[in-house]
Amino acid sequence: MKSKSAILFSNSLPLALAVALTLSSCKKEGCMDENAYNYNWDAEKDNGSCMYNAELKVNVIPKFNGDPISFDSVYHNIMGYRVKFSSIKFYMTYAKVGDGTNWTDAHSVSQYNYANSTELFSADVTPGSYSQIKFNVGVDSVRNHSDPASYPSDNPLNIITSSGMFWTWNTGYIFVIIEGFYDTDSLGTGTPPNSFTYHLGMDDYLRVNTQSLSLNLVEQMTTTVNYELNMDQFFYNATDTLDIDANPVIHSLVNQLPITDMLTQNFNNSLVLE
Amino acid sequence: MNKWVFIVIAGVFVACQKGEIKDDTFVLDYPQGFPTMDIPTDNQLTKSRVNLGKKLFYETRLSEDSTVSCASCHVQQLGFAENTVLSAGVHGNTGFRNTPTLTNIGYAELFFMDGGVPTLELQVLAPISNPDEMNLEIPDAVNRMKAIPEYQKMAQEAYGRDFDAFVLTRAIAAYERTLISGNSPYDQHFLQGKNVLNASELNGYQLFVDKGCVNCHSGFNFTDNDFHNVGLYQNYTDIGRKRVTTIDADEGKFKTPTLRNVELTAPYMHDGSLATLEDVVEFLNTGGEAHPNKSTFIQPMNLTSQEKTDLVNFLKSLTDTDFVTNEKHGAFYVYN
Repeated sequence: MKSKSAILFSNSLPLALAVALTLSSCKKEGCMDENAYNYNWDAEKDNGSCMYNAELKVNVIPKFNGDPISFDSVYHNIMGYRVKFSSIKFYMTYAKVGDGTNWTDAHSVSQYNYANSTELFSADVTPGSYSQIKFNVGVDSVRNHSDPASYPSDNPLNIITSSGMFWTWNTGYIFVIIEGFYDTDSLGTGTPPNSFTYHLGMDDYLRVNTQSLSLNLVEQMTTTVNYELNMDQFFYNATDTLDIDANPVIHSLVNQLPITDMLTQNFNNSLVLE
Repeated sequence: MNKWVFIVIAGVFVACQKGEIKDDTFVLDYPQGFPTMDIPTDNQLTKSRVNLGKKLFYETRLSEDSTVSCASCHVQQLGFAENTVLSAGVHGNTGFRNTPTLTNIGYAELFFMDGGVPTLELQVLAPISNPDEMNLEIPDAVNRMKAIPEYQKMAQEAYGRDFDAFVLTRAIAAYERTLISGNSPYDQHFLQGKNVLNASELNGYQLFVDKGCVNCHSGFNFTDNDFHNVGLYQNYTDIGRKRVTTIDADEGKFKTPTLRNVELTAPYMHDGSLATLEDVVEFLNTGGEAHPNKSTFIQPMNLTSQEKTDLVNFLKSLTDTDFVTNEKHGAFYVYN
């Protein structure tokens, strides 16, 4: 005579097997590689669907009359002044690639500092063919009025990593810093004796830089895009020329807004694909 | 169980509890008639935070040459202001505006006389990095404090993180929110039922209301937290609120200061150009200079000599002696 438990076991075995088979066939499929951008943390079986980002590297090379700028060299601007640069920095926000209508996010924020590197940013981007690339020169108005002490220490907007690109008397980031020395005597020698400081910012002067290109981003491949920043053109445009000697210090104050407007436009227009 | 064993075990338990559980809550003591203060969720007050903020407030190493602290220009005995036209920063440098009082600063809505900074926390950054004040870049300030073990320990206790700009800004703001003043003779008379104001002060109060001073110096803190042009000049060298907004209509407008402890904060106006309260009353009595942005509240008051005296006496009745002598606000008091 079978015991009670043996009867229970023999009766429930087929049911258990059926449940096990059902469960096994219901294993959720998906990409199980954490490095893939479509990684599915819920997946229990890899179905070979993994897709990977492409890497996009963007560099900016400051130039003067076509030559890469050296902080040790002296250049002559359009007014004949001798000019030497000591700092070229700017904030970039919301880089995107797209076709002019549809856009794919590329990078949120970075700070460019020519003293450290020519790299503007390096980012993982969805692979594809793109015909345009754009970003803000400056910090968008939401983050421009945020608390710089509240960002994580590795965020370029943190007050420590911002390396002085934040106004404390009036909340807001300095979008562009151009500093250096000048000499009105075009025949002078050595380091020019006078300093110039251009600290440009304020919400109204956020500029959008859009460039056309043929960009084919392939997964797990690195593509590099190089910009040139033609600093000779920073000092003039079609209708106006900045006399450094007349305005050697600009902090985007109320009485300096027309010059701030001009210089932020000039800076943005000077930033083009190589 | 042997009763002595029980007593020993109970004693150890209590001792352990005492060691582990420390009540760090800081409860603001609101004077009669004062509303609850809005405090950011990421900087709720604790004793650890207030202690750290106070230590930083009195810390001269937050200036370039370790000679100037926040307290150098915000002197407790002077209502957390200073008695010079322009305060001296490092190397004797001076800024371009008179030092404002920190009395009840936790209730302010915008900071600095032009309102350029929206939070008490962010305000901390400006004087430290200003070349005319403490002249120390924020990264340098943070690194200095971070290198001092006591500050690292206090930062961990207060905010659970290493000393950084977040800690620096939050802690000083936390301390400043404790600077509440509401026990002046005016408060005692009108809110605490003590009959302490004399006839001149009471008449001054009535003039304060009748002549419209109360239009801007309103509420429990004697400020509307707004910006006004009082006609101090026809042409302003310091454009005030316009510096921030760039709007012409804001030229010459400055934030309405609280009048609490105003007796102690001479000289007056944004540039310290009026030396005494009598000078201020005299100026306002004239109705001010012509300026397109001048507040319509500023009109000739036609005060008699006695009325001017009464008005000044009323303003002096806003002095809170307890506040400016309270050791809890001083450098050496530690909340436990």
